[in-house]
Amino acid sequence: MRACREGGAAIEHALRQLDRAYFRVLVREAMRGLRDPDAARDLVQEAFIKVWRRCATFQGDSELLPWIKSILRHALLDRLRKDRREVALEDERGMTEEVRTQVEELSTAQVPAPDLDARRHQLDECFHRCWGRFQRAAPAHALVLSWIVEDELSHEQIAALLGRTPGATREFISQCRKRARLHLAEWYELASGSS
Amino acid sequence: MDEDTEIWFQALAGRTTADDRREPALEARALRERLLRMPQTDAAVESSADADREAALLQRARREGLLADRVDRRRGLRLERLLRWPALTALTALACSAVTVAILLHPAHEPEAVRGAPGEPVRLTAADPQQLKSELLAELKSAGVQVTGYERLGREGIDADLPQPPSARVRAILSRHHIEVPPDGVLRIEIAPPAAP
Repeated sequence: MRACREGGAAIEHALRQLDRAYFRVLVREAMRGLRDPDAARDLVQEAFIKVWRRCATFQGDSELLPWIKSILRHALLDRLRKDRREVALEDERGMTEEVRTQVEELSTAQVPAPDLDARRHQLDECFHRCWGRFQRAAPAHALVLSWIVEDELSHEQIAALLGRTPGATREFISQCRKRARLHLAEWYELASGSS
Repeated sequence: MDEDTEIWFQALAGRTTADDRREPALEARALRERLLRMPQTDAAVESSADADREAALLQRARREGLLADRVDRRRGLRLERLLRWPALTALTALACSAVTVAILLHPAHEPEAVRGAPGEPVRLTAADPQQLKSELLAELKSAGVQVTGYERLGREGIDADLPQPPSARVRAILSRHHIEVPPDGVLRIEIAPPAAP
């Protein structure tokens, strides 16, 4: 950050250091939202450039990684917003009648596995399928939901990431739950049946 | 957000509440545990060759003008050498006289703002760049903006991270100084004195 503020030939070296220190953790984050290696790498690069442009606003006494991560997350949400428009959900549970029927059919079609390992495998496979569906249908919601889990975010932190008012943030969180229930219904049902 | 969703949210974030046995909390905890067990990403993505990646990053930084300061730095070094020249005093006196005459002949005028290409700083012109910088810093700070001023190689500058969306007050300040609101919230300003006629 000092090299960034001072400018000069140290910039190249500092950019390399930035990349070596944070690329892995950031690309992991980007992959979670974009699920495309090239797009994820590109986004991390974009984030590094933004870090450089904003270095003057970095508070020296705070930690660097959370600051860089928040820049990446903003960029990630912006990218997802550009890619798609949000679609409102229909009912209280977040399911249209048609989807609910499909989910119920899928859920009842699951055959109980004979042993514990197979059951676990079946649950894992089901979760990956459902989560993949959630990510494709509502990438921003799936992403924010995973951030809530990972970083134990508060309402205020989510509002700052989304750039929304507290009211709009609460609505967004509510939508996260509805969408999760919609797309993970099959897994919820299977999991509750096996517990 | 209804009560159930709030319970769900708190449990999802791993916070314990008095409602931990209610259905939304159980639902959130199951999801939380499952997500925490999920593998992060494909290792192949993380292990792309460092050298190639760094080269691409530096290339992009150059394309976006981030490494332009190297040129400034070289200019700065040349200037340092020049300043050791014996005629330093005479040159300085001559320059001061020229600036004084220019200021007397051309009274202070309204600052001008020129928006550079995307990603480039906004360039302002002011008779007293330092004073304008101080004013802008004070105004933006009072509006709650995270802002930093700097002076680099004789150029006054400001970097600010605007709240998204910018408040009406921030917009008013920028408008007063003829500065467009940057779409990405990153405001970079450079202030220079007017060019000599």
